[in-house]
Amino acid sequence: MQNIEIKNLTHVYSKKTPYEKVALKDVTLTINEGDFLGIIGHTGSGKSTFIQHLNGLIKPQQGEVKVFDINLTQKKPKPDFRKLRQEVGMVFQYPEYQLFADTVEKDIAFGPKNLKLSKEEINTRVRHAMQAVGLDYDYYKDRSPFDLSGGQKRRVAIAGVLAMMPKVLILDEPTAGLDPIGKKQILNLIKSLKNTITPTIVVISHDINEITQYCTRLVVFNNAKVAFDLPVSELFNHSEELLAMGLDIPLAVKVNNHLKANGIKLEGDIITPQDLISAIVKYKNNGGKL
Amino acid sequence: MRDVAFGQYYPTGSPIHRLDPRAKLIFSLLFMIFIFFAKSYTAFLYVFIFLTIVTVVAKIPPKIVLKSLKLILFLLIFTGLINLFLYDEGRLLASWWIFTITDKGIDFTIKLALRLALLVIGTNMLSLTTTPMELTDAIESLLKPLKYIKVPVHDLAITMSIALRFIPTLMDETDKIIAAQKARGAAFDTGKVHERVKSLVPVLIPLFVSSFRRADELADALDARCYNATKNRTKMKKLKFSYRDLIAFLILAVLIVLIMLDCYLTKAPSDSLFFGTDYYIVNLFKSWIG
Amino acid sequence: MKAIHISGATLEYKTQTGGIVRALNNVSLDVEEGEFIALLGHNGSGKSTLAKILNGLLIPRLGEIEIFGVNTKDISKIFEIRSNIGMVFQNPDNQMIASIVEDDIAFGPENLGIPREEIIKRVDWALEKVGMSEHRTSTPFKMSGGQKQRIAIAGILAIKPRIIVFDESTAMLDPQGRKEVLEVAKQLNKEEKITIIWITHYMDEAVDCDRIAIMNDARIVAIDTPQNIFKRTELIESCGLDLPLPLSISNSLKSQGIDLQGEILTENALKEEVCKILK
Repeated sequence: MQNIEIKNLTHVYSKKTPYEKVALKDVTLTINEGDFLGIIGHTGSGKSTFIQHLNGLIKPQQGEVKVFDINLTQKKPKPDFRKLRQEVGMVFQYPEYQLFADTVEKDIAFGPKNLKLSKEEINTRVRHAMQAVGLDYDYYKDRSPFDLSGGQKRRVAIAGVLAMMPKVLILDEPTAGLDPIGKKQILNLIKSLKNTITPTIVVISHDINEITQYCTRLVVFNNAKVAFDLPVSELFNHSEELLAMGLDIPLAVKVNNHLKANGIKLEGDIITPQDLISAIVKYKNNGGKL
Repeated sequence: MRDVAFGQYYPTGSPIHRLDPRAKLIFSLLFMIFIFFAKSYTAFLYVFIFLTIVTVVAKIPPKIVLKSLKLILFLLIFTGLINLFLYDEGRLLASWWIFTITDKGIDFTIKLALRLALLVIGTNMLSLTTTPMELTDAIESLLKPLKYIKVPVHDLAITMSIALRFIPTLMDETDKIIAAQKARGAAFDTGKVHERVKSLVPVLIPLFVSSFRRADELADALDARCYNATKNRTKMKKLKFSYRDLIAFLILAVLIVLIMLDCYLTKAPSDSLFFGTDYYIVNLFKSWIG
Repeated sequence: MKAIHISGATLEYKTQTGGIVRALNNVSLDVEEGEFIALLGHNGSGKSTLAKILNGLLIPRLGEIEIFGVNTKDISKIFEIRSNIGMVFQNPDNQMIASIVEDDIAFGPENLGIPREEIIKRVDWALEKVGMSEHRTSTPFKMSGGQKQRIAIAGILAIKPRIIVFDESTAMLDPQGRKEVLEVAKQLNKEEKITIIWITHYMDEAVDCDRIAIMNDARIVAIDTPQNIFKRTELIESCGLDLPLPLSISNSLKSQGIDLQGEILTENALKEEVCKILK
């Protein structure tokens, strides 16, 4: 089922001034239910502008944006933004910078409160969200979010978005600035969310080795356009083009390409380190024959 | 987002942009003073021609120049109407209750509106062709003599420079926080007044927290870069008057002489704006040229 | 004379709730001039505090710190120390004071009262060293993180320090920016013989430095060459750090009976060793 449909979307910042900048040019993309979509591309390629269209933070200038049955392009009646923001949850870069309440519980309850839910419902949602991000409700609910560690703060912020119970969750650089432990925790969290809380997840990441660990489909933005939209297993057939765009490719792909160039052909799709390791072991055990 | 540190700066690299900012600042002050001596339509024509020349040389589209008038349009209309109806000297054309329209009233109203419009356009030229940073340097340089009466001119200039530098960063940050809270269903543009004020809390607190964090880090960075190492601080950029500034001054001087001559030739009108002080200066001028 | 000499540095913080946290616990470290040392550790292990005691931003409760023989406790010489040891911080936005690149770079030398002609020379030189000469009169606001951080480095270079501390200067950058900044640091170390302290939690940034120091719980728990440090897998993991990806792949292959040679720390080493063994 189609969740989000974008057609010929174009966006220009500071139109008709000397500072004019085209951020999106004729972008067409569909996000389906169950997608685990990764978006890559370097800073300024348009990805952030793109995702901000998905929950109405940026109004479409030209083209069509349809999220579930909400048409963001229509003028009258005005699109239902409250419903939209309930359906599409957005976790921004460094989301801990949005924390403001004096307790963890109040901060996470901010979203559901804005939805004008009942007290009981709000409480249930806060508990659920905290459980989902791995924070014990009784231990953390009355603590100040500002006293927590960086990784914990980030999980509180993510819980604040999960409490909206979105059907689509968008995360912009969810592991940026964290240390290895914090990173691992957030990655495991995202993987577990996909299976339990939100059926559709979109992640923006710069770390190609990380994003290929969990995403099944990758969209590449380059110069305000969608350069590729492919399953992970096919994208790296275009390694040369990606490198030419200044983007990184996974280490396992690099090693595999090197082996190919030296006449060694490993079996199967090789994207992650695990793929590479098992393919090498298999190759060796078969004595170089397939 | 536009870089507000540039204010209204409209970069074209024209000779006017390249004038010494101190010269431009002084020219603007002179312009502000002498436009009040423009009394006749001929004088307004001189000013108009002068501003047209400046606009053409500065390569700024007339549209941008006229934009500044939009902001004072209300003021123009309001003061215009008051003067039109309440000015009671001259030949009566129409009257109703306390409102009167006289021929001199019409004349006065038109001149006042013209003067105000030309004043705004003229002074706006300064901000269109000079960056706030250049202005800071100019003010620092012009205020230098105050050092001898222990005014910390330099610290003030650095504070100003840092403020300018951080305005765009904080604006950007505010945008991000607003977007993040909107994504959690916050509404900033609906509801009663007290609700709207309350809705700012989730924006202001994170903004304060982050500003303090930035200030802390900035303080460390200033220290690490040897701030306050010596009282004899040097400066890389030296403002220098050049032939260009002299030419510009001569052109402005021509305008001033034309205005003053016109003022001298026009019989003393009754619309003194400076409670007679302008006549004092006019008489002084008269006595100079014999 | 050592570039940096730290002996027995101990420092505590008070938390908001009144508790006391030890940020440095009897830390000692000697660094030779010209060395490139990576300092690794998870968040809160004390890395940044260690950086800040080096130029007198913090003074430890116990212990001594000398920068080229000058003790940081000597207040009268604090600016001699600060002009010898530059510091690049994490957030590029929070260390720039001017809206124009060249004005920002001139800030340090202006503070030191360097003559005008010399400042201009230094700005030219610093911009060239970080490869940003063509951005001299631009505003940093719209630049990429990597470019902003290179300008911050130029601002430090203009002070002409003999040591530069990079305090997680790549943590907020994208891969491209990280590469740029690390390249600049390596180049400065090689060409200008500037001593580098590189603080990070990206392991791959540390693989070809001279020595690696690992911090955990306010102490330096190990200091050695990369080859030797990365043999101690258990230590690294117990300190909350990762192995560089090529190494963890090769370790995994070794454990499954693939007979790879040596410690494989880099992408190229992994490519070649795997190729060799499969041919």
